[in-house]
Amino acid sequence: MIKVVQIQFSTESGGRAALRLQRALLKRNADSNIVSLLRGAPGISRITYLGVKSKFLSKIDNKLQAFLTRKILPKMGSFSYPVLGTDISKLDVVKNADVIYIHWALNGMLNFKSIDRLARLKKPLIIFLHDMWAVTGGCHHSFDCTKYKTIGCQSCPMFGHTIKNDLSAKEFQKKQRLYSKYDNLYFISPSHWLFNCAKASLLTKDKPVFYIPNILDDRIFKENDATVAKQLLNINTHEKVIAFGAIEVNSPYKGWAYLQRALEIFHASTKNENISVLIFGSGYNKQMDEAIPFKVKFMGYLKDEYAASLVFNAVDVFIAPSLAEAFGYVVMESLSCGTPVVGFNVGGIPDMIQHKENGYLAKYKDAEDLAAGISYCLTNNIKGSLPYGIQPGLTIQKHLDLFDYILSQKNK
Amino acid sequence: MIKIVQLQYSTESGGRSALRLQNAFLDAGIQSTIISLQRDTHPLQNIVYLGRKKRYIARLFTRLETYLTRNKVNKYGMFSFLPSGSNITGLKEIKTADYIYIHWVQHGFLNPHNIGQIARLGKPVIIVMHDMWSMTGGCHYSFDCNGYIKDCKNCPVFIKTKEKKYAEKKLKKKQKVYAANDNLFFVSPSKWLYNCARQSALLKNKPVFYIPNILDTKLFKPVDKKEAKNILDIPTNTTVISFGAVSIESYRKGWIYLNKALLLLKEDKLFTDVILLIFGSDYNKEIAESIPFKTKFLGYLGDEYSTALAYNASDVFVVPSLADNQPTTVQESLACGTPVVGFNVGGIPDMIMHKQNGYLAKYEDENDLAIGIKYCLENKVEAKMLTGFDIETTLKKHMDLFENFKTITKVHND
Repeated sequence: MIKVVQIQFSTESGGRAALRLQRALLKRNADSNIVSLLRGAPGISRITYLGVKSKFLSKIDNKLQAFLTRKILPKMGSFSYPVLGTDISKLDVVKNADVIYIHWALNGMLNFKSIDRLARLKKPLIIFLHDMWAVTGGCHHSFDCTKYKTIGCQSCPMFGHTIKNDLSAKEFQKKQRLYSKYDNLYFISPSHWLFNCAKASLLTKDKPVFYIPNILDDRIFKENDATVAKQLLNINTHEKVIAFGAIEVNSPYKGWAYLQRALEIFHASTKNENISVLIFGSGYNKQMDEAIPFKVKFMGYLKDEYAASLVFNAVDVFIAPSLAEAFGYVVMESLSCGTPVVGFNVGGIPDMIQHKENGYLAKYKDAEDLAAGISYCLTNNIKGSLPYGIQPGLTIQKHLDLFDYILSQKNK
Repeated sequence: MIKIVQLQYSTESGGRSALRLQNAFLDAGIQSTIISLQRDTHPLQNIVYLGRKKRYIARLFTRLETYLTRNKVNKYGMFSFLPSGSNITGLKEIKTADYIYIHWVQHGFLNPHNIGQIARLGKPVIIVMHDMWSMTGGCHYSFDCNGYIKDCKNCPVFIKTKEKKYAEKKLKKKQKVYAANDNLFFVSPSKWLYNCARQSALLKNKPVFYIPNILDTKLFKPVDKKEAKNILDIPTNTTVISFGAVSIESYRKGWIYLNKALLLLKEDKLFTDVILLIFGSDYNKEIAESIPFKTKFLGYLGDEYSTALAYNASDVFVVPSLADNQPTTVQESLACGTPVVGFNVGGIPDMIMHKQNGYLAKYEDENDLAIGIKYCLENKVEAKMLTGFDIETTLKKHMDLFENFKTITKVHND
């Protein structure tokens, strides 16, 4: 039986990818364990949490990073230069593993040295890309900057300066040295867009990169009776509900401004009185409530998958107005529950939304088209569904095939 | 306008009762804030979380306490006696409050001395008892021991002579705090605990009121059972028996009795197509292998919507607790129309009416527990929450309490 260990910062939000993959692997009789820095919900089995010392290091690392990147304006997005980290290569679950996955393990969990230590174990080390960080000199999303694939990161536009040998250049070189030192490194991208970024990056273009989407449990995220779902959530069963996840209003990755404009446009055009908006992931937020022309229901942060599935089943259309998205888990969850999704044609979203079939792919940064998408899905009663390429059964098989491939390479 | 502040260790599990009471207050237009020692990963509204230093000290003391009580007799469960806690009387929320509620505050949040500090502010302090700790020398449940009625001498929780005195000393300290402050009022959510309080050395001369915990019946309500099963991916004709697995290791939660009862039901013809639905735990090999039926582990349910869904998908809910105050799970299940089988102990008989909305089994009798499960399934017992547990009634009792204080204070002033 193959033994997998997956390294991940936490089991919340982005960290769900590792947890869901683990559950899927266990069902297919592969062994899996997670190593997590942060403690998540209780009752999770096969998980090792790092101790107080690691958490302390991570906090110091965050402070140091904040200092190093103090010139970056928040609206430019995230940049990570891991200074401190924990060497986890001596943990039993790591030593006993046949294959190591590194998911999102920044924020002071792993630094270059601790990744090096893991690579030195000579076991296949699979870096699962959840954003662009592993293929750039430090940014999580490069937006329109192409230096990572043309001349190598330098004079990083995020810092707003012209110093050639800056932090991004240093980090780029560090990654270059690390990646070229080992031939047991593999990369997985959950979207075609990120796969193309990795194949074009000077750091990873000669490395083995595979496209394998994220996975979820389609026995939890499935289509159910919408009336019962609405009843359980106290939503009027006659209402048409537009939903989206809470958005940090100023985030450069999430397009709140476009969403807000789109809702206004849609409000002006529709004659339907029975439309409401549902926002999950946030308690009551005055700024959002006042900016939305419909009745708004705030669901708070949903902690478990059954509740999330209820919400997707209770709503009629889901909007994902992301401006940058490596994958887009909420899109997948919604489609898996039979609810259509309207989103911009960007990042991993076009892998999942088939225009006018299971949702609507709006033109990038076009609020009018986003509004048209909402209207299209509601008036045509569009149904969501998972396209063949991202179905969980296929995805888990891809991981198992990858193990076979890697281990057969190793034995050659 | 009335301003309330509620003190509570965390907002998780037991802490939900403070949160629910708060929501009921807020809906009724009464201002309420919770002060919580532990943080939530996703901060909630109207909650003040205490700082890192206080949490750190609390954790250290809790570890020390675990160490100091390492020799205790296992079945008694938690024993809290260390003088660890924070003086929080300087907090703005406390200063501006009209009424102060103290819920579950052990594990290094507040000790009796801190409760005294709060009481000396002179405002009415309402101690909502979520276990027996307020009236004992340290144990949270005394089981068969009646020491708290007198003096907690010769405490059976411990074996060593020196350790046997912890409870006695602590009881005296609590006595001092209670005697020095006549603005302390005690609320018991169950009749059982109310009676314990009326007998106890510490509280028999104190004002004690019976007010059940509050439950939002807009969240916990019956929906189509078949659809609920469907949503959880359970065949609609399969019989679903459910229970919570929050603390399988805890003697008090009585897992061994449920396990035995299930083994008794294994051969029964009625139990050919049965699944055990387990809340609060991921797949657990040990539990799964000791249950003679199919199992489905739902993991930790962090949302009330999914908890309500799980009760709705169940045909019967079993609560095998050997000591419990007013387990919210019972209330939740009944509100969702699912009958409950439990032992006739603690606050459970307040909520279950035998053979009407569930089954009250003889204490520590696995045979009767098994009969109860069978009875509910065979007779398709339709459950309802008994009257007196709804938001309106409960909230009114709290309001009456406030009126009560006014009269008391008036007498004082005169």
